[in-house]
Amino acid sequence: MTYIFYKYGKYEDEQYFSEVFRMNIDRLNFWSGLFWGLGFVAFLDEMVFHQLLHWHHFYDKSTTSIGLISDGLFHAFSWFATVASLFMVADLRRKNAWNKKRWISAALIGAGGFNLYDGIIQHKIFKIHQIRYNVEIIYYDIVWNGLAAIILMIGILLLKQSKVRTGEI
Amino acid sequence: MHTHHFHHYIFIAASLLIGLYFVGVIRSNKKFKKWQFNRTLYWVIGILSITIAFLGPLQNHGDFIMHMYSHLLIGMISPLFLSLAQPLTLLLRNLPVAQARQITSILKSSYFRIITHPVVAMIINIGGLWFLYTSSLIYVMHEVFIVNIVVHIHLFLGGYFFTISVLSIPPLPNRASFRLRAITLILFMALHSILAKWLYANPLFEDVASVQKGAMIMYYGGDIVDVLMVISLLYDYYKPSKREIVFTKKAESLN
Repeated sequence: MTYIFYKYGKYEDEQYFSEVFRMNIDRLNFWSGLFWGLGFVAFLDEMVFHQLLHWHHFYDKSTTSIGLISDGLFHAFSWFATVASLFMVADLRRKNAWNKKRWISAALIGAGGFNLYDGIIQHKIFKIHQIRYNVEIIYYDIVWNGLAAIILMIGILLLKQSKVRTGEI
Repeated sequence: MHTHHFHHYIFIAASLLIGLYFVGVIRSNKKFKKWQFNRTLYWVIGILSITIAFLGPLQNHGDFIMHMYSHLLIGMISPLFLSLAQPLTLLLRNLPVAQARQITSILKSSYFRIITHPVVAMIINIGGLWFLYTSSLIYVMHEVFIVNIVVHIHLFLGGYFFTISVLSIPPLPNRASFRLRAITLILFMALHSILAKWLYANPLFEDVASVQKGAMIMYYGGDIVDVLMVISLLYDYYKPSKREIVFTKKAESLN
């Protein structure tokens, strides 16, 4: 009896991340850092403020529908970005091309940028939820956004110092 | 009671499916490269999770928390593991040429191509879910047994076709680009968590507390399965490629 082997071509067009994301090593270092910072802060926010302190609410009655959509998209993207960033780091490490300083500065930019977006757009404009309830919220907002801005600035300054490697993928 | 027999049928079907897969693996190993053990494990996990979902909560109509757990099992966890187990590839390896060709021609048909396009599969999957919870179908489902069955079959098949198209699991004839599949998966994750929060805000039943608990199970449970899907999507692009090995060999021979 003869059999056929169904050929599916899964291995024929396999690519590495630099090709999949169309990035050179510098960009791969930058974006994986940024994705990680963003995803890690989103995760920390969920763990500390939602689960441990119970300051944030799962759903706040004043949430707008655009807020719900923005929250959903951002939540999904940050999950994807966190996993992707770790794969990108593993890929960079096996190529011996992990530029830690560039990566960390990008992570700070991602972390600060996300918190600033969360603190200003999601909390204040879309009103998804507030930092804490039944308190004078303005002080919390100032500390939250102030810290976010400082982290973002440190990230940008460090990034300017980090050496750029050019050349090969 | 017909529900009592229903239990038996599910149990027999599950044992048969696991048994058939084992037989298929043994037969395939005689002719082809050894079947990966992981896939057998995924198959058992997938079948067990769908069995657990069908054996328990279909009976507990009122309990929304159990309803949500069973939905996670039927719509997300079992489709993911069953598609990673690649039952169709195993089937093709075990069939004689003529029958295998018939199956591949079905896989290549335009109908199959359309429903396994990532965007179409996502709309069928998450659209069905949105329809279930935003229309009165959910109430009808709890009243009429046959509607209940149809909804659950749709839930499973929607999840299955979505998983094989986004993860591009063989033997799928057409493979969409990485970018399209990644964006589709992100959109699915977003629409799933938005629906969970919408459900939290607009409880369908009088027992608000249990609906809200259920919505949170949908949200966080969905997150966990989504991460597994993202990992398997990205791992395909991470594992060392054959081309890389060819390049290394070329470089060695040059030196």
